[in-house]
Parts: sequence; C-alpha cells; structure tokens
Amino acid sequence: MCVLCYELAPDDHWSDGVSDDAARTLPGRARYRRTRLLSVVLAPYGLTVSDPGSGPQCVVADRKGAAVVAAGLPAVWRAADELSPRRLDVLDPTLLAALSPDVAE
Amino acid sequence: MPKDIKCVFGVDVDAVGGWLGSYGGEDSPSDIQRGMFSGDIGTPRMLRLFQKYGVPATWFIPGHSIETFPDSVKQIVDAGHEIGAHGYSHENPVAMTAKQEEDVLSRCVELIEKVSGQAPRGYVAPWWEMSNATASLLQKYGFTYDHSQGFHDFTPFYARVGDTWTKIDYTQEASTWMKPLERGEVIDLVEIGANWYMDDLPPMMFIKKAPNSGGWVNPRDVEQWWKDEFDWVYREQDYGVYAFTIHPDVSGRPQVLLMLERMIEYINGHEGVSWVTMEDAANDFRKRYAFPGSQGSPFMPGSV
Repeated sequence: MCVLCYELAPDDHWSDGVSDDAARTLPGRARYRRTRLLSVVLAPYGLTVSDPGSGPQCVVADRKGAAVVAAGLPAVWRAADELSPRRLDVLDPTLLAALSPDVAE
Repeated sequence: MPKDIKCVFGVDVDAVGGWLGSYGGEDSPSDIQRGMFSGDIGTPRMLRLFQKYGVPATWFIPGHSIETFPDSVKQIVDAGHEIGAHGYSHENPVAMTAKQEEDVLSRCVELIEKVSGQAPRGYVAPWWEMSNATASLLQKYGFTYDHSQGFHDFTPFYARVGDTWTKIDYTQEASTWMKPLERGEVIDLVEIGANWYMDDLPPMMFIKKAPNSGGWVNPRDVEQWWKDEFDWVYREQDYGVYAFTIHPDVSGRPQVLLMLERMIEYINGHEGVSWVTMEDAANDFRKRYAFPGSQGSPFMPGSV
C-alpha cells in the first residue's frame, strides 16, 4: 500500500510482459506501451482502455457508457470480462486476427 | 445597440434510450426505471414549468423515447414546442458505422415527422460527438442547425467539419507528432454552441457505471454557476444566445425544477432578453451573419 495515497499495490499477472524492476512502477514509456497494447487486445471486444495518467489505474470502458477503473492487469482482465458481451479468450480467432506482429514494437 | 440576449431551453429526453446507449444502464432495472421516470413523470413536470412562465422550448427526443412515451410526446407537440432529433437510443455517433448512423437518423426523422407533422430542423448528437459522417447526413436530411459543436459558447456560429490533428505516438520520433491542428471547412449549418457548463446532467445525475459520476451537486451551486455565465454574457455581449441543455431525467426532479424557476425569474428581471426556440435562434443568426462560404470564418465578426 502506498503510504501517501493508501492505494493497494496492483496484483501481478502472467500476461504482464513488462516485469523487470524498472517497469514495475510503469514510468511513462512502459505505461504508454502497455495502454496501447491493451487497447489493441480489447478492441475486438468493443472495449477501450484509457490512461488518466496518475496512479496505477486505467479505465476500461464499453461504447454504451459503462466503465470500470482497473489497477493492474488482473483487474483489467476482470473488468474486460465483465464489460464484454463475449468472454475473453486468448485463443479467440477474432482476437488473434486483430493482433499483428508490429503491435508489440 | 439595444441588448438582445436570446434564451433557449434545449431539452434532451434521453430517458431509457440514454441508459441503453450512453449511461451503462442496460442491465439495471433501477436505471431503466429512472429512464421511465424521465418520460412519464419528468417530462410533464417540465411542460408545466414552461407553461407557467410562457416559455417555448426545443425538445430533442430520441426515437426510443418517441415510441416509448407517446402520451408525453403528444403533450409536448400539443403545447407547441419544437421537436428535434437526438439519436434513437442515444447511440454515440462515433461508435457507429456510417450506415448505422444513417439508418438511425432516417428512422428518427420519420418518427418526428409522424408525431409532429414536420421534419426536424435541429439535431443534437448524443454525447455531443459528431462523427465524420454526421454533418453530411444532417445536410442530406434537411437539417438547418445543430447543437453539438463546442467551438464557441454564447454566440452561434457555422459548423466546421474535417478538422484534423496528430496524436502522440511515443514509439515514433517526436517530429512525427509536432504538427498543428488543421482546420477543415465551414458548412452551411448553424451551430448553437454545445456547452457542458450549461448542461444539467454531468453535475446532477448519478450514473452507477461512470467512475467519475456526479449527481450530488447542490442545484443552488449550479444556479450560481449559470447566473455567473448569464451575467458575463449580459455584460459583455449586446447579442448572444444563452442556451440551456437540460434533461427531464435530471430537471424533472423537484430540487432542479425549483432552481429553474429561480433562473427564469432572474433572467426575466433583465431588459432585452427573450425566450425563443432553438430554430428561431438559428434563423435569427442567419440574418445577422450569412453563410460565409467553406473558407470563411465560422464566427460572426465581433463575437467575443
């Protein structure tokens, strides 16, 4: 927990590819990259991800006004499962088709 | 020059359509019931308010509300108010395909013509978000004015479409994003400025699915805010359009109805103010400043 803002530290998740110590606090560039990747991954599910720019949170939203503040990847995936009309599946052909090799660059 | 401040009530009957399209309420019986309140209870209450003060209003009614609340809509029409378009289920235009957007607009035009005997002249984009297709669709369906763009606030202007800007992509060189916004072209569609600070909904409607929901702002604080805006406009402008954007979902509640009574009485205490429909305000603006052409200024000379 942060002693200044009383926010709980976000949980780890196996899907977090940015796991070295420097990226743990997600300084600007790594944070930007993560938000961008999450946006690409969740777009086929009709969801958006935005970064308010402070704290560990991002906002996962559908296109009909429902939004969830999520801190850390486990919370992001839970939010996406809750908001998406389709269950998230890492082997979903629609998702795989939407991803391209250059997205990760 | 004599003072001429035109005051307008734009009333968006979002109701159930709002909860389906924009406020995340599609799975909540409670939210849907609040939408029903808007159409069945809030709308007649607001009609009584307008009748009490002899104020005309422009009601932007989603197709969903027209079909769900035929009695309330008939009361609006019978009272002589103007009817404008506002989506079917308050769908965000930027989330729709161009075909979906046209299907929604054409259906809503048809519904409005059926209940009021006249095709709508005015439009409010749900969430005030115009897509790349919206402006051409409005012109195709004969709209003469819109109340969605925020380029100006208390002086009407002509719509501008096609502005382009560059987003920052931190994976690229900085030189790729250091570019100014490029203005698009001005079109022959009058805009009565959309202004979040004249909207009752963000501060006074509780939305469970919005992380930053308002809903608990004291209407007396909003009243002071709106009076300050009016006072500035009245002091600085000889001509202006002071347009409220309100919703029966919010303004149909007693605490807001009483505040609106105080606002109307406050405004009526000034010389040179009048209450008009949004169409009348738009038509009057055309006489003051004719369409300047696609490369002209959208703003009337001298507007502050």
